Amino acid sequence: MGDDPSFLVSLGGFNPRFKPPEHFPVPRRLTLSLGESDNPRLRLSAYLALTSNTVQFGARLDLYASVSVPVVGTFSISALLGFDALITLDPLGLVVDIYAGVSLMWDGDPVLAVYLEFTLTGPTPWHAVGTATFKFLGTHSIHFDVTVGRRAVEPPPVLVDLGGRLRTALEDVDSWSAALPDATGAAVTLAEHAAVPDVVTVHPLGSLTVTQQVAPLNLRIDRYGSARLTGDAAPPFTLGITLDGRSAEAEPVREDFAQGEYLDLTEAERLSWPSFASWEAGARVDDSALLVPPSAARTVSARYEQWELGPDGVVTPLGAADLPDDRMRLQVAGGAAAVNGAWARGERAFAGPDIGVAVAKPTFAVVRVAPPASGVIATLQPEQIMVDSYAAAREALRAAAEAGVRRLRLVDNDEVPAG
Amino acid sequence: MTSSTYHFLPWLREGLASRLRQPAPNEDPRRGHLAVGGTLNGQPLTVPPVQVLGPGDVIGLDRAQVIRTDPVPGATGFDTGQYATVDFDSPTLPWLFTPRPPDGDRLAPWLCLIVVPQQRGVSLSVNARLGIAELTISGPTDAAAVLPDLANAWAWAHVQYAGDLDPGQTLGQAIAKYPERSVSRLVCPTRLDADVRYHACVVPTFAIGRDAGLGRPLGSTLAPAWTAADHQVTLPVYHHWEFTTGAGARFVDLVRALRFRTPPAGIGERPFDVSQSGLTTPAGATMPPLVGALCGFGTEVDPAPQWARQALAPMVGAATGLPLYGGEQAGATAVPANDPGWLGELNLDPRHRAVAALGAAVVRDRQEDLAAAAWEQAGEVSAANELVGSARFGARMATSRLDRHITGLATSTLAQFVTPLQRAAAADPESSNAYRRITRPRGPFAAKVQPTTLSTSDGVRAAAAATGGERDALLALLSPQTAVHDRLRRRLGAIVPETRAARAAAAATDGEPVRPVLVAPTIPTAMAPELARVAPQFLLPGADDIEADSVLALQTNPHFVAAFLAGVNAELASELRWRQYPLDGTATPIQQFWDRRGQGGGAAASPDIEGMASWDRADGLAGAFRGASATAQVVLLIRGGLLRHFPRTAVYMIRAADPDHLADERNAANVAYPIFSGALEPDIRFFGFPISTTDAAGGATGPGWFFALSEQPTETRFGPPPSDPRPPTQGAASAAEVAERTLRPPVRVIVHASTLLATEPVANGENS
Repeated sequence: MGDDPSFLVSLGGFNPRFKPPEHFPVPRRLTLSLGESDNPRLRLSAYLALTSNTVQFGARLDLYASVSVPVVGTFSISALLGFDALITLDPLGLVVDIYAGVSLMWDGDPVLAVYLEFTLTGPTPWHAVGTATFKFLGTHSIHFDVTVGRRAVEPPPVLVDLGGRLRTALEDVDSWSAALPDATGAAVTLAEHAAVPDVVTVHPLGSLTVTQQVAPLNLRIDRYGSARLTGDAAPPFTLGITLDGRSAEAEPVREDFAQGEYLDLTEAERLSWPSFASWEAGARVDDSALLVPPSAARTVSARYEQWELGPDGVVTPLGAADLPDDRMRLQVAGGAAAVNGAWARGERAFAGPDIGVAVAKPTFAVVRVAPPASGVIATLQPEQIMVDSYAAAREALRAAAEAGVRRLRLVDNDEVPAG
Repeated sequence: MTSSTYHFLPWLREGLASRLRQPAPNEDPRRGHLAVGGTLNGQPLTVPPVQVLGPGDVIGLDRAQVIRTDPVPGATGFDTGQYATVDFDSPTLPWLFTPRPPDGDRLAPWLCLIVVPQQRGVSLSVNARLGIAELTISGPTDAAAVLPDLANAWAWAHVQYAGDLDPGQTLGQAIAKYPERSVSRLVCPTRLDADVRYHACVVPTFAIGRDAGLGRPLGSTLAPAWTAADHQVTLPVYHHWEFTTGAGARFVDLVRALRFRTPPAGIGERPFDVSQSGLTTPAGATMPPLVGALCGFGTEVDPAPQWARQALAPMVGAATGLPLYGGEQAGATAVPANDPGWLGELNLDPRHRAVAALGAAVVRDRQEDLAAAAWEQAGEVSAANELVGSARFGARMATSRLDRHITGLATSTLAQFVTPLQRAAAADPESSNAYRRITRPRGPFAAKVQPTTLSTSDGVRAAAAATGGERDALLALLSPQTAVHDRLRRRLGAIVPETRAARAAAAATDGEPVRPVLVAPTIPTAMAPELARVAPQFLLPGADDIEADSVLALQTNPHFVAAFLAGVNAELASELRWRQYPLDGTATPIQQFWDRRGQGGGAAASPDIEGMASWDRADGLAGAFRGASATAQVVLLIRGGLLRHFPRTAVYMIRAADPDHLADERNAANVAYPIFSGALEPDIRFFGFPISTTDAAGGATGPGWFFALSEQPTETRFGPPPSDPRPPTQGAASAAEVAERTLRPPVRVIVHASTLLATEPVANGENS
């Protein structure tokens, strides 16, 4: 709801690779205690989450047991086994993090411990990357990287007409929705009528929204899942909405897209970037301008009909008297519209001045690195500064590099030089 | 032209309704149609058809949209030479669901106002199944004779904007910028008969609106709800009220009926009994009465008896449970029994504690709205505090790393570590890698040459000289406090203390480079209307004893106001903290008690109380009350039928040039508006004036002042033009022209203060 609508359902939280939007209350894992005693104890915690383009689930089993031997000490064993899965629906992808470990402790210090964690990605080919750690008189680790599913013959790249798919999604009546105005704006009680099929019905004060999850708009896209792009319409895709033949002011609507499925990322970017980004996916038309009849206004001078009440209780008419505009402006604030209207009810009755606390959005800049003069480290001169869009900054870096400019870097946030 | 203006518009549309087009022959005429299109990379998209809801989709109206009716519900004696009208808050409401584009200057509204006499054949009943009212006209009453002609429905709905336009501003811009100056209005053109009781009802104008409201299946065309051929009609009613016509309720008549009286004995005081409260009371001791916010002239507030102060002092404070009002702002956690100032006067007097608890009750009643408004003002403070929290954690981690790995290094190694961070002019050859390799401890020259102390660059030497330690200077360059602080300042801006002294002060108190952001909301809304709604018997105790049609002179009680606002602010602070709002505890969010809307003591004047953190501990409670209303010399209270029929009557004072004539009103010094006003339902209103009654009455001190009582200028009345026998719609091009013809000017009655304030001769021995 509100400025940044998104769809999420969560039982027990989210996959650690997924960052939920701000202000979304993140539930704790659903936890079940198997067995009745505290020692040994066996606990199962799990979660399931659905978002508009992903399914996330995971579980974890914890075992703990301890036995206290007189004179020697307390021996305890703890084990865990668990997995976190993240399935992206369109394009299809799966990432599973699996971890398991057993450790034997004597008086709280680990004597013997084995821990294994690996990440499995797919579907084709299946790729497992992980580490096994042994702790016994020292720590030893083994790293492994296994690919299953032969890629002996590189299949011909699949070509997808992303523009065509996007057009089909935008022309589908299910992508169009109408939102009622918020509670103070509806002004009437509506009847419930059966919805007319294939028609979008909107309240006159409401907003009309179109959104889809096939491809982001206004962004250069390199691929679609594992396929390359083809077709008449090429990214970046721009969407325009017209009303009465003239283009309407439309606000962008954002959806979450998995960045790795649309952009060619380097290894470093793939590791350090968040998995999901909020990109433009549609538009909302919310026309709130007033339509005034062009020449039909009538102006009447506001004058009093004046009477005088004398000491004897007799009222005598005195004709007309002027009502100056400053008095009108003053007394309007005590009139029915000010005292009984929407601005005097509910939360708006207590509205006050904004305190002005704001957090600057993350800023990225493409900077030119000047070679160090003697004794001086490299200085950074900003070429372009972009607010809140890593993808746009990366675009600018690539565009500048193609233009033959060398020695450019992308810096974020606090390293952006002032000015 | 010195007079203000009214602007009338025949219709106004907003939102997607302003883009409607004529429906094509194969499209549903009962709903509006938009021409929506789309393009993808410049190529057109085929967009599904979009329909806008029409009158057949509406079954009820939000009650909050009706802001005024003329006459008021339940009025008696309404003048038959006027039309009944109803005003709506939204200036576009009457045309919102009309599914057609306008026809030039005329657009039929989807609602209209009708008045129907209560007689045999007319019945108004509530339909429990749908929850709305139904009006049935049948039997001996002929619907065609009673209901207005819908062919002229376009003429009886208009938009009114009160006031002049700013230079260069269009009417549309003015309506959008000042929503309180514009209303939309429905007028009922039926001529009223005398001494008849009427139902006034807001009903739909289209047949499908009628059928939707009654729960019947809808027709397929956009026909009107009734025609001249219908003699029996049933209509759903979105809003209704009753009134009776007659004589005697004109503004002038109601003003003439007012009389100045002495206030009843004991007005403004309530007896106060603590015998059941659990306080140890000496035998036979009583508390002085509690004085309300308004009280009679000359009423003094007696201080609390000493036994009450002694009994309360150990019970008040953070440790023992009873709240200490104003304690956080004063920096105190307990108050001794003999405290001479406001903290003792407020907390150790059971009457003032009761008043503060009233303030707390008012806040609890509106806690959701107050909390929502406070969060709205705070902006992104939660995100800012999250950032501060993670920054503090990061600083701590980095400090621990620094201590564990870096601080123990030898100074020479430390200098090499720091060298790349220096922005000095020339690099010393001694800090280069080649030199270090040659001079390493077990290298080729170590046995032969004792290397000099590694000299560091000029910048570090200068810093070392300033801070008295080379090592300290190097560590200061690496300090995570500085780095974290700078990063935070980029994101948060001015909230983070800037100067090194401020940072050091902040770090000294809790060892952190930056503290969480605390905010203080400001809520400028007056609290007296809330008190009047929740507990009117404390705003003016004894108001029920005031006779009808009387004018009284009263005064305000600053002790009450200060105690009330202290309680309001204490409860608001605790409520916000419970909701985890980062509140700055020394602030006073609510500083306004008396309502100044529409009166002269406007926003520019100082608030009623100063911030409680600035109250002098030695001052009494009344000393803290320094606002403009402290200069209100007299509060004029009017009770009467005038305020039942004209609830927002405006009262102000104009200087007299002589006992019979007004001075020039255009000179601002000759007009005195009330500083504040207020209302007690249903028929009491009071106004605080800055001029005393003796000055106003004049006589020896001068010609005095006139009181001017006028109808509220935005609440206009309409009636058939007295000098024009034609129907007002004849020859009119639009509803704005009809409004212009039928407008009645607002009435103002001037009366000299000496006349208004002359005491009624007493008949039965009551004396002032």
